[in-house]
Amino acid sequence: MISKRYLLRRLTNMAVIAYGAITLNFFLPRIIPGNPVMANLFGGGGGQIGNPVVVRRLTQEFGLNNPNLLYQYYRYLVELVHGNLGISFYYYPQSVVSVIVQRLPWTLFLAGSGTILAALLGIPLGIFLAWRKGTLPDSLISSAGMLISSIPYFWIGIVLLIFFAVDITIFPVAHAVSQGVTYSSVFAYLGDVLYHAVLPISTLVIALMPGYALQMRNTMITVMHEDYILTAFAKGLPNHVIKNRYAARNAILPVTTHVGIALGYVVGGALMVEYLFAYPGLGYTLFSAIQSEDYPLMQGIFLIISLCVIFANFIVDMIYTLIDPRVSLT
Amino acid sequence: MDLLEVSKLNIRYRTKDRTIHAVRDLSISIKRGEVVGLVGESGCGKSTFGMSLLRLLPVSTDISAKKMMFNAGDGMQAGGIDILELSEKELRRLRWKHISVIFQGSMNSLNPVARIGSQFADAMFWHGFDDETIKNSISSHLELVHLDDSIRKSYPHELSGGMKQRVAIAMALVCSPELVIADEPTTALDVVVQRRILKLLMDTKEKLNLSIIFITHDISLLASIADRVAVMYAGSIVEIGDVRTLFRSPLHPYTKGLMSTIPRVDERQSELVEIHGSPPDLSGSIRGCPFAPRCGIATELCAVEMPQLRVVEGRHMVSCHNVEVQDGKND
Ligand SMILES: Nc1ncnc2c1ncn2[C@@H]1O[C@H](COP(=O)(O)OP(=O)(O)OP(=O)(O)O)[C@@H](O)[C@H]1O
Ligand SMILES: [Mg+2]
Repeated sequence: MISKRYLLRRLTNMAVIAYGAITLNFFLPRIIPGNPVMANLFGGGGGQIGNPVVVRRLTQEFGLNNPNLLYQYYRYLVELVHGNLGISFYYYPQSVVSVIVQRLPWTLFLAGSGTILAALLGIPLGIFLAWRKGTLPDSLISSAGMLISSIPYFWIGIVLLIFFAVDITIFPVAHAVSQGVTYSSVFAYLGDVLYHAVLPISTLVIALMPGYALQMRNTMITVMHEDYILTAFAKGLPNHVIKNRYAARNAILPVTTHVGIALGYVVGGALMVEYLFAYPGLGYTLFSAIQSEDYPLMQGIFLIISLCVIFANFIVDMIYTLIDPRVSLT
Repeated sequence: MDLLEVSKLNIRYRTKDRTIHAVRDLSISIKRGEVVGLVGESGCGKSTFGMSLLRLLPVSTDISAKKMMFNAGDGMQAGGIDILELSEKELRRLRWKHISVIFQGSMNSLNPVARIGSQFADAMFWHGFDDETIKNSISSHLELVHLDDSIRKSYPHELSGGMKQRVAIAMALVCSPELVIADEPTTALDVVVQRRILKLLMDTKEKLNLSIIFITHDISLLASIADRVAVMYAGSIVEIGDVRTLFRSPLHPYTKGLMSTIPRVDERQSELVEIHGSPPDLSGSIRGCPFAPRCGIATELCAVEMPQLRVVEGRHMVSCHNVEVQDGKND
């Protein structure tokens, strides 16, 4: 089991990384020549910029009239601790945090179920292929997988969209729920949510699954050359025991790490998919924030995405710790 | 009837661009309770032969033999079983229950993510032992190799090299096989641990009436543990005989060469035969005696005709044109 001390160490580790992300999120836009944040705010770029109330509040809360960057940084941290990321220009008078809180669950739902489904389908497929290495099914499916994983998310989404929502209209073109409908029960609502999520999630699964499958296949083929696999055969164990308890069980370890590392890309993909399907998550919101030059919102979304990826990596790390006995838990 | 009878075994590995004829017309029989040392240079086919007894070679490998019979004492069919004729299912029953292996480089032969106890248990479980027997056997076999019972809860990475080696030995014995193939079981260990483990293996062998094929490239090891020694060169056995005979009066020039690598302090080390050059490429066919190019006493005959394994005296056999033997009878 994981000891308290170990958990504490990992949590501290995560906190340090999160702090780094928070700091970067502050400095990065400010070191860009011309400092778009300030220029945007005072130069009258985006939608609500003319609104003197917004400008005054932001200036005050974040110490923007003080030219000392460190002082601004200090204000930024203080406001952050109080859960204040500023006010959205576009969604004024909503705060950035309240916009994010509304939109984040949709993104988590998409990216989370996309990743989990892709892993749950891809990994067994990889095991299947590795066990039949070099046979016709393996060559065919592996080549197809390589082909699919070279197609960008966006393109997969468009094809699904045109095929299943425009050509044959079995799935909705856009949005997370039907517009202007009252639901008879919670289940009707959930059903509607799932119905709308089919195409976006399928896009993610199709884009991600081949990667997981191939990764699992290749790792397992390498593992199959290990001495302990030969031992397993020598012991006269049935094939399914060798395949699952020896080969796949060992191959899953590096694949888990890979899943963790790829999470950043998955989120990137999810954002694109949201945009494509007008799905009301952070990705969709981010695009409208960019269009309307809503800098506080953009910054807030970037920050929250980094924090989510960092946290998800922590979870993957914990899972890895639980399944690999060689990781020291003390 | 001998436990294992192999006659004219040939094994060819097939790779993308060539075929490697790793074992060539190899014949050997092993008695019950006998320890046969199999010695030879790296790449001469020792492991290939060992693995072939369990049919553990890559599927593309070509194995043929005039005879490859395993005469298990009880449980399996009377009259012995033809290893080459076994189905997948029958093979699984033969493996570990009747013939087991201590692998070359046993360090990595344990599953890193499974506890030691469960690695003993799975083999026994699938060979039909009940829970009670499994539990007791694990304890008694760990004790046999002087390991604490608590080790069953450990993972391989928590053990030292020597401990892993002992686990590998105990595990090879846990289903009480008749034959154990020990493929360089101690190569990676320091001399003290090596001695201890060999002694352990021999003690256990006495208790359980095992036959052991002990594969090594260190012929001096065999002096204290083997009943018979088989010297292998380029896929064939070139000399075989009782350990005393072979150490006292080796006949084949290659055996003599191997013997001379053993450091001795006494006077008798008069005949120092050094082995120059390297063994032949096993992917081609070999004309004449495979040792001829490196042999100090090779004649014209040696370059054209492959010598047969002939009886010198009793169980002592050698394949060399330049050794006088009693009769010309083949194996
Ligand atoms: N899987 C394989 N595919 C192709 N060739 C192989 C394979 N395994 C072994 N060989 C070849 O067969 C020959 C005999 O190999 P083998 O492993 O039996 O030698 P060995 O006597 O056990 O050597 P060592 O003392 O180094 O373990 C070598 O030439 C080797 O290159
Ligand atoms: Mg070997």
